[in-house]
Amino acid sequence: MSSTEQGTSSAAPAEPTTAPESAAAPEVPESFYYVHGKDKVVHKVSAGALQHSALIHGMISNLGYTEEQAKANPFPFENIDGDILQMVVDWCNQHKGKPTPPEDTNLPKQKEKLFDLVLAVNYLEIKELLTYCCKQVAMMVKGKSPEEIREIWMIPTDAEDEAAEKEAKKRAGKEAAGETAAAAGDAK
Amino acid sequence: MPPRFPLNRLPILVYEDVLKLLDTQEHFNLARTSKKSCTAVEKILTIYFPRQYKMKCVLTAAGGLIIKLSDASSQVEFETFSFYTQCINTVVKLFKISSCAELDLQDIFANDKKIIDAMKEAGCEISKVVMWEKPSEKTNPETMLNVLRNIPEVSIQKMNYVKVIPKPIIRPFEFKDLDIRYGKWISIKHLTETFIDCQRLHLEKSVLSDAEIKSFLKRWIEGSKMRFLCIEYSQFNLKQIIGENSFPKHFSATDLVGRVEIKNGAGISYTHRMTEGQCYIIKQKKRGPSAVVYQNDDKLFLSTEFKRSRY
Repeated sequence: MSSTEQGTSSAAPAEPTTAPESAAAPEVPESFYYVHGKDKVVHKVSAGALQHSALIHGMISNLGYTEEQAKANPFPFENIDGDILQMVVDWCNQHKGKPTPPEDTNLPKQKEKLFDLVLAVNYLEIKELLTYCCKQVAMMVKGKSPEEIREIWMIPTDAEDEAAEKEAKKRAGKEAAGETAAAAGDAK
Repeated sequence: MPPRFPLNRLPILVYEDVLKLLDTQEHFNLARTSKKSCTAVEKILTIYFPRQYKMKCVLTAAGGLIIKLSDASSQVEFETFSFYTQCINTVVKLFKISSCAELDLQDIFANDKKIIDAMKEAGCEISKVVMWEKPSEKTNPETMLNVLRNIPEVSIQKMNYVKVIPKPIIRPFEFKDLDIRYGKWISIKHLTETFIDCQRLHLEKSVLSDAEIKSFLKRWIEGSKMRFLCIEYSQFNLKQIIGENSFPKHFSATDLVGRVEIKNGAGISYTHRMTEGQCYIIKQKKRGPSAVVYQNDDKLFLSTEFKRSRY
């Protein structure tokens, strides 16, 4: 397994060095966790950044890992492509401890990745990012005609829907028949 | 080519989140892409954006159908030049429209009829139709009115047929409100038979003689559902029609002089000071209502809603 520590990249906001609050109260060292996607590339992410994800936040709260344990056991997200996970981690780092603005300019601009990003964000339960992604999806059809919407959102026609439904029924029928035959074979 | 996004492959809750972010126009356009999309949009609108829109439609002379929806806080317009039926169906289904408050028809009669049929098919009642016949057409008025038969309020603003139809072949109408601005084709038979049970009738440019009006009033006294009539024609002589010795004795007609408050059948009241020979009261048989018949500003009126004023 390869390992890159990208969570502390330059995109992350710099830590304040002489903030008056930090002078008054002793700073608690930030804990880090590790995640990897389908490509097995491990990303180091702070607990603060990971708070955006309800799924990971829940996992962290239940585990109580030490830094070493966390490093040895990165959270595996095999269903998320490496580059998509990278986008999500970057976004979480950029928005660590900050109130999320109503319009986000830091969203990934590649529209072709948007679908995978939405699925990943939905899976990781990052509510604010999901809202931004949904806004981007909605914006795709601004001022478009029904035909253009069909094209952009790849919506099948009624005839295509009917054909797909028939096909699904046929397949389900065949599968049911196969299962019955297998059960009969087992009984013998 | 614009980027593509497989919306239908999204998890259902995310799919619904996207739909929640669309505006009314976008909801309408998405609903028109497929039956499945229409059902999905309908669900979102019902749950998250329930509204009680009032609908008005215009079919323009150029063939564009404009559907206007409005409620207390918002207004939205959809326009299409094709697929009228599909469009009307979608709007009625999506926004749960049960009636069209006003339908303004300005296109060729065949297209006007298509819209009326599409509304009926979609289960949307039409409360009022305003019709403007195109200069290039000359539809038989009875054919036109027959298409509008079950609509309570009908206003024919433009009609090119001018030849009098002496013998109507159409069965009687019972419009709540019928307004015909180009009524040259109307004969006395229309008044005494075809329109006798219309509650409110307004005719312009109809040419009728005193004798014909007299026969109409006699017919009204025999029994009619008509509660208000206005004929815009200046040549009548009311004294000759209804005055002393001109009306048979067995019909009751009383001259009314003084101030009278009269409603126009649409709830609006006017007060008139009647002079001798200007206004008469007639009464329907079989305990029917009374009505004032009077002339004012080159118009002849009949109204069952009137009140004599003391001052």
